[in-house]
Amino acid sequence: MEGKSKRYAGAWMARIICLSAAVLVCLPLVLIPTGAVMDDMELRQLLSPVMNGGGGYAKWHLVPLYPTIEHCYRVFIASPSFYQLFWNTVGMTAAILAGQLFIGLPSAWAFAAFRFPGRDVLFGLYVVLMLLPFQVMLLPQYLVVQKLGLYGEPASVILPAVFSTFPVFLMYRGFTQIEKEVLEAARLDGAGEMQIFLFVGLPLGRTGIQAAMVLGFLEYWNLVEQPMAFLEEQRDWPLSLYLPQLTIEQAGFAFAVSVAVLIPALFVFALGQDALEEGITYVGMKK
Amino acid sequence: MKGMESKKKLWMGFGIFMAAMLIMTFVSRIIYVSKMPRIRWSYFTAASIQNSFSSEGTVEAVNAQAVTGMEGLLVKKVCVAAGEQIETGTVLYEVDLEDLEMQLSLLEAEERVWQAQIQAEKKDAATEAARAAEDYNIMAAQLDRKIAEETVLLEQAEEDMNTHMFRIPQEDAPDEVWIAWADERTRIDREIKDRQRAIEEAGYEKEKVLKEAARSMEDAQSVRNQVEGAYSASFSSVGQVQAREHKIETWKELIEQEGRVAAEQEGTVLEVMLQAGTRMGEGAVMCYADTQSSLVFRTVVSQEDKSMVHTGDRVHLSFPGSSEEVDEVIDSIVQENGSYTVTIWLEKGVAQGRTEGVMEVVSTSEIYDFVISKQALHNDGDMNYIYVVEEKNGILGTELCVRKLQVRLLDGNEDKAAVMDDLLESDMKVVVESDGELGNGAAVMEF
Repeated sequence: MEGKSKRYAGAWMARIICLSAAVLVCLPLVLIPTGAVMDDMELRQLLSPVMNGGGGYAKWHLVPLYPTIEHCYRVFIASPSFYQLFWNTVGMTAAILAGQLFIGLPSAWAFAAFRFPGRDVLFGLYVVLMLLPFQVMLLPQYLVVQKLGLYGEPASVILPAVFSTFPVFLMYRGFTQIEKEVLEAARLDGAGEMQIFLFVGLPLGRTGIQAAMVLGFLEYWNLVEQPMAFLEEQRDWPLSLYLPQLTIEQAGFAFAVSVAVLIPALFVFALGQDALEEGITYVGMKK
Repeated sequence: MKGMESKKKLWMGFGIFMAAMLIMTFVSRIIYVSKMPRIRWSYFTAASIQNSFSSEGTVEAVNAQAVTGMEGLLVKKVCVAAGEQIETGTVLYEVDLEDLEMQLSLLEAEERVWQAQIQAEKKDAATEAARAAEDYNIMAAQLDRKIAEETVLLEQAEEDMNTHMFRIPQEDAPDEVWIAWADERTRIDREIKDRQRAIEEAGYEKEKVLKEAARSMEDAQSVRNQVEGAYSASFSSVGQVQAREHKIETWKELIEQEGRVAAEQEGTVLEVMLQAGTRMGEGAVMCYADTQSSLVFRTVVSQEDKSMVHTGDRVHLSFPGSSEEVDEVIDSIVQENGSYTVTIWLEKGVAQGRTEGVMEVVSTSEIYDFVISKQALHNDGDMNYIYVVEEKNGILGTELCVRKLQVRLLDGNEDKAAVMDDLLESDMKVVVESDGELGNGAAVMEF
């Protein structure tokens, strides 16, 4: 009896701890929409301890004292700047994901479906490249981009991402879940390799592909380092570079922009959540 | 199946979101563009600035003839106006004849009174002079008679002295004889001296009395002469007498001319200073320039406009009501009470019959490097500035924006302005027209 009550108390304690952590984690999601409708003066008062380098802690009102839609008006109606960057981001992300489907998908299928000399070495290189952080790859990528004459062009961000190895790895993991017998059966039935890829591989490896796309979207939607390194013209920037330009004077503006940035990511996450979870499990599986 | 429905709704929501973003993209761009000022621009030009101003003035005759009014007479009609050309004999004005005759009769009566007074005074003066001459003659006769009597007595005493000297006693005569002779001699000698003194005193007396009598006679004669010469205690000066006589004479002539006053020579009426129904005062009532007179144009310019006119500058003159226009040279500029009087001597025959004119001055500056339309120049208090168009690479791509540039105004007129600043370059695009308010860094569109 005593042991039962101890377990009961422990469970409650764990719940409280987890809930507290969850509240802390989710707090930005509360700040963003309330900040978007908060008056500039109120924002300055609340954020000045941290934004102006002063001492103390920032405060927050869950319900704004002086609610306003001025920031939303400025972001969504008064100026097309936000939309320019929004569509830049959409275009860049879409191009990268499309490129990854075009380049990475066949590569992943090749690693998963075929046995050829040097395959393991090549795959090992892919894994190494996947592990290298961007800071390590920055100089080589810069040299290549410069040599190709793409510096300053959106392609300088898109092309390196298109040839990223992580989605190949993820999709490869998805394809490896297809039973070899299924592929053999298709071959015995007279299906060609392309037919097997299109009609067997893609439907059965869909989860891995979706996971790669969802993760890719979330990564490239918030891309910061690559555009900052390779893009000069503001007109080519993604939204992720727009937000750091905003100061405390434009905090409300930044919150309004953040809301807009958040929405597509939420949609994509909701749409690909199942595939994402499954894809992540693939990563952890043994070959 | 439920998951599929949920996904479908999510896809639909995502699609709606993206569609809304697309629509809002167009809406925001339309709003942005509709609020964007539209501008026209031009480059700087190197040019000079022409400044012009006009000033109204008067045309005046240097040797203007004044028509002196007939003081006290009633004007019946004014027959000419300023600016009118007149010939010799042109009737200038008419006086009221009845009033003139009445005024003349009054003046003549006054003259008669004065003449009577003069005659009386002449008579008094003549009587006084005659009396003075008579007194002089009587006094002179009396003194002459006294001197003559004294002279006889002196001669008698001198004869007695001579006789007495012959009756000198003998040397041996007694002392009493000698004493008696000496006493007699002393008496006669004293008598001689007394007579001599009396004659001398009578001479002095005569001289004195005659001098006084002569003076009285001279005074009387002087008064007589004054009266004869029309000087009288009743009048302060001969000028008034002569003026009245002249006035009577003139008025009589005027009556003969039926009250009409005519021009003595041809010319142009410059100014008329009398009105029908009023009495003329002292001085000129009309002014006209004969054809031989020189004309000058005079106008007053302000301190501000003075910088545009200089002695020797060529200016354009026009005359209201006339098509005549001439270019003349400024002869003098004189400062008077904070303003400047500009004088231009007109050539013979110019502006005849004109009384007013307009001077137009056009001054051309040196060539400035940075000349813009006046519309392009803005000012805020003492600060002058322009907006230059530049291309700006921003989030929306390459946009036109304006930059505020402070400049120094060197010169300007109603249309152009010459400006200067170290930052100015000839290839700058300067905003000359805008349909909205501009601000530093504002994005703009061209018309």
